[in-house]
This record gives sequence, C-alpha cells and structure tokens, in this order.
Amino acid sequence: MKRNWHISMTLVCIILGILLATSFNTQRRLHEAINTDRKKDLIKTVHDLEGQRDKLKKDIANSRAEIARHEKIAAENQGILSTYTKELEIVKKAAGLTQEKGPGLIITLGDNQNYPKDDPNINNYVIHDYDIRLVVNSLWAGGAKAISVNGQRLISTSSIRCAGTTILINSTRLVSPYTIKAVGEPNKLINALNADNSTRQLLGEIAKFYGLTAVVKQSSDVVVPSYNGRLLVENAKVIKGGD
Amino acid sequence: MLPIIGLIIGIAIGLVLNIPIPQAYSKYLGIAVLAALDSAVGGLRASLEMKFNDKLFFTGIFSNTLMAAFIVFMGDRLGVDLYLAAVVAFGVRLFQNLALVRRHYFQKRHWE
Repeated sequence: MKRNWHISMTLVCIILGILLATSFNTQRRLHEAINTDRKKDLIKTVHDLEGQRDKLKKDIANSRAEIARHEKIAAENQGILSTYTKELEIVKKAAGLTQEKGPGLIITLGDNQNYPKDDPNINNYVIHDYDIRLVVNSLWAGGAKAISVNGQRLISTSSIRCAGTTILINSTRLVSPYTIKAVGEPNKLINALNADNSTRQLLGEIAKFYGLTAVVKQSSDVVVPSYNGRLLVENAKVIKGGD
Repeated sequence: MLPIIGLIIGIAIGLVLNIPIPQAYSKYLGIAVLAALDSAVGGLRASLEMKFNDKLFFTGIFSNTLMAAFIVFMGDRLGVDLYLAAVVAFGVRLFQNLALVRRHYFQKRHWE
C-alpha cells in the first residue's frame, strides 16, 4: 500500500512536472514570439515610413525645383510675350488694324442732286475721287491718326480711285454722300484743310457754286473702324533695279 | 520524498524536451496542468487519510482530464469560455484538498 502510493504519486508528479515545464516553455515562447514579431513589425514599419518620408521629401524638393524652373521660364516667356504683345499692338495700330477713337473731324461731301439739266458739264456737280484725295491728303498733312471714308479705313496700300459713277476705296465701291472721318487734333486738322488752297476752295467756293454738300464738323468722339481687307500684295512685284 | 524527486525529474524532462505546443492548444495544456496538480494534491490528501487507492486515483486523473478537455473543446466550439468552469472546479478542489492536507499535518503533529 505504501509503496503503491509512492509510485503512483511519483508517476503523477513526473507527469505534472513535464506538463508544468512544457506549459511554462510554451507560454514563454508565445510571449517572445508576440513581442519579437511586434517589435520586428514596428521596426520594419518605422524603417519603411522613414524611407517613404525621405523619398517624399526628395520628391518635394524635386517638385519645388521644377516649379521654380517653370516659374522662371514662365516669367521669361511673360516678358517676351508682353514685349511682343506691346510691339504687336503698336504695329497693328500703325497698320490700321485697330479701331481708332478720339476727337477729330467728320466731313461730309455730297453730289448736288438738283443740278441744272441743261448744263453739259454735269461732272462739275458731283464729288470726284480727286476731291476725296484732296481732303484726305490735307487731313494727313494735319496730323490725322486715322481716316476712314464711308467706313473704309485708309491704310498704306489704300487707293482712292474713280470707277465710273462710284469711287473705289479698298476695292469697295462707295457712293455719294461721302463721310470722311478723321481722328486727330480738330484745330490742327481744320488748319490743314484751310492751309491747302485747293482743299479750301473745294470746301468753300466750289461747293457753294455747284451746290455740293461740304460740311466740316468737329467731334470729340470720332470712331474710325479697323481695316478688314487683305494685307498681302500678291500680284504686284518690285522691279529689280527700279526705284 | 520520492514524489518531489519525481516532480523535479518531470520538470527537467519537460525543459529538456521543450515540446512545442501551438497557441491554439495552450488552453488544453493549462487545463492538463491544473488536472495533474489537482490529482497530485488529491492523492496526497488520500494518502494522508490512509484511503489511497491507485485504481480510483488513476481513473480519477483520466476522467477529470478528459472531461476538462471536453469542456474546453465545447467552449471553443460554442464560443463560450467554458474552460473557466474546469479551472474553477479544479481550483476549488485544489484549495479544499490543500486545506485538508494542512489539517492532517496539524492533527498528526498535535499542533492544535
């Protein structure tokens, strides 16, 4: 009985010891595993994030540099662009491609509608291309900035020609009455009209004598439209050696 | 004296073997430890009361362990911490047996 008891108890105690030790080991291993895994994970996460951060910082630096570069280019372009734009505006203005507004004169020239039927020289009772030329040239002489006749802007290649009973300006037929608008200093323009004998006579005595309409009106707000025809000369060629 | 030597030998064997138990079975292991501890203390008490019977002893160990394992298994399956029942049962018995063992020693040595 006593021996039996001892052996049984010893057996159970051995089993208990094995179980205890195994349990102890298992628990310790689990803890370690969790801790080391977590540690490793955290360390890896930190390293990864640091790497990402460094990469992003580099990206930011690169992006900033690029922005600066682009800004510089943009500024340069802006400068060039504004210079060209300004120049373009000046050139356009000079070429007559922009509308002109300002004080000036509005001159109306018209045929005599009630000319005497028995007069064989009916040409005396109408406004001719040279009449318009006279007035326009006087206006140019008076420093007109822009001139239009019946809405046709006069530019460097414009001509004022006779075409039967009409007048041809910028390849457009115009009929009486002719409204000549000129932007410029009104007083100077009037002085210029008076300075030229032919012009003065045309607007004065001749108009009166033949019953032509000739009204010179000052205006503080004359609007001369822009030229809207072709600019390039295609068929005419410069002769070599010519003047 | 022999049981204590056995315990030490058992611990040594367990440490040396270092059997890897997956985490899923750590609960079973804990219950097994408790069952073994309960049996050892119960056996000690029985021997002190001079009522030790190795058949009863071993069948008790096995039935207790198997029942505890079954309860743990069922608890896992049901999602209820049934293993706590086994832990409490073994724990209560452990302390009861311990108290009885203590009382026996006192009576034996007439310290009362």
